[in-house]
Amino acid sequence: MIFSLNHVSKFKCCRNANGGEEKRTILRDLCYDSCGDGIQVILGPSGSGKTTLLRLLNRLESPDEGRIFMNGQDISTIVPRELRQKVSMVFQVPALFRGTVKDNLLFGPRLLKRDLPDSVIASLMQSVGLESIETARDVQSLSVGQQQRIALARALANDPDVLLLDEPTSALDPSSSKNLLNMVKKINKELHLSIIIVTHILQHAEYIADTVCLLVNGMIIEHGPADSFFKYPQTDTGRRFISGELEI
Amino acid sequence: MNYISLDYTDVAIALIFIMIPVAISLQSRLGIARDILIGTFRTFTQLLMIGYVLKFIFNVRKWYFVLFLIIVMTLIAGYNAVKRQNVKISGLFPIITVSIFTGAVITVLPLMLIILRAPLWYEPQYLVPLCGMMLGNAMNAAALSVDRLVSEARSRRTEVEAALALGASPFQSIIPLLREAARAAMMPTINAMMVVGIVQLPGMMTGQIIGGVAPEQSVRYQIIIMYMLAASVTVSCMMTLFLLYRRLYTPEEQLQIDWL
Repeated sequence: MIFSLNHVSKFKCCRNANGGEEKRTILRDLCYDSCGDGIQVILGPSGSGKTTLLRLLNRLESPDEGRIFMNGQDISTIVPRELRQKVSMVFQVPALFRGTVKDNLLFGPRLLKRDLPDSVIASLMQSVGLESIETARDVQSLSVGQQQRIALARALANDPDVLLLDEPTSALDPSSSKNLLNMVKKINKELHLSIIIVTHILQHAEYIADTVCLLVNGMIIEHGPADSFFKYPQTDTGRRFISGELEI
Repeated sequence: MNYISLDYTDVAIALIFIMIPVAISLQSRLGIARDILIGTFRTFTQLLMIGYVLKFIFNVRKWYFVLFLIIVMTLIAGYNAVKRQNVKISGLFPIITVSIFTGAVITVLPLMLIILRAPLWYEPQYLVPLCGMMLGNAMNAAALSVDRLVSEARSRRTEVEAALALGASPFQSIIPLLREAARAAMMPTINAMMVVGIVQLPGMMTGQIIGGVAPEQSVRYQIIIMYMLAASVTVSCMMTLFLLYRRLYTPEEQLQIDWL
């Protein structure tokens, strides 16, 4: 699944110090084609517009200028619900629904009047490494790391073509983060899913990425295969970001 | 009927009671003394005016005067419910006004026609005060339901967006919040039903008893009123919520973040 961005810009109205409103540019004239089945990392410092870009792909927000295509089709022409069933998104915080693990896993399929057999639920739990957790358990009783993995399994239960992950490790400790990243790698290999993951953590990007897109101040600075990006960044901003010297 | 008649000297003496909250507000610097005095003045003038209006309407007994008065009361109730909101939502006034009017009408009309079997369906002596009670309670419930829905959407935004991101429709994504808002809006009425007659003697029943009506008669009226209130509050807040929730979303089924 390939996303193409055609001169995409996004603005937001904010209150300035004088109490008036000003238009702030969040994303500026983005032109870019995502990779196919691999893991693509959108990398950049905090406030660079990474989350907004991901929300545009899921149509939780719409661009103010430009168009986004998915496999050549303008996503604004696709019914939002149908698009979102194909392009699942996992948020920074787990955002689970009240109820049990099973309630959460069945949420997406039930929207389509579909029930999941226990074997599929078991395999979803296995794919996120939670096979030992009872699916009748209340999600509130799980740790944040477990909740985030349930959120991942819930997104997978929709059988999507693309998985969007918005800083999924931000609320996790280093060990849980590593586990989750391994899980994402495994899912990508086994299910051949396109995965787009947002992070500001360089080590995570280096560990998981097939391709990288560096976003700074709402602009794509560079993009390409992860190996060459980390070894031979093409821009001064890219070099300074990798060396931790980039000041925003 | 046997009751003690009051004149304006008695009303003026009752102003002593207002001195208590004003004094406490000034002493404790609550900053509401001015509001209390404005409220005192408004209570006096508004009730005085409605007294004359009711006297006129009771005398002429024309359905269009009664209906006009009820429509004015509904519009004022809708305006007040909107004014109490912290957020500006376009189209909120017609939503709330229609909802509370519907809640009042579908309870008061059956009461007039089936239970009271009044000689005139618009008998002002019954219709106006009953509608006033229904509208007042429905206004509170509608205002509360809007306030609760918006605050729930604000605090549970990620949950709503998580549902949308999985392919839920706006309605499917907001059902738990609608339930929460409806519960919050209906709870005061349900609580009132629980304690009525034990902790609290309602205004209407008290008024009738003071007016010389036999207690067993006024109790029957009050029981019917309590049941009607439960129905009109439920209808008004559910209708408000169902008409409102879609306005929290864009046509592209995105949560309108600007309002939150």
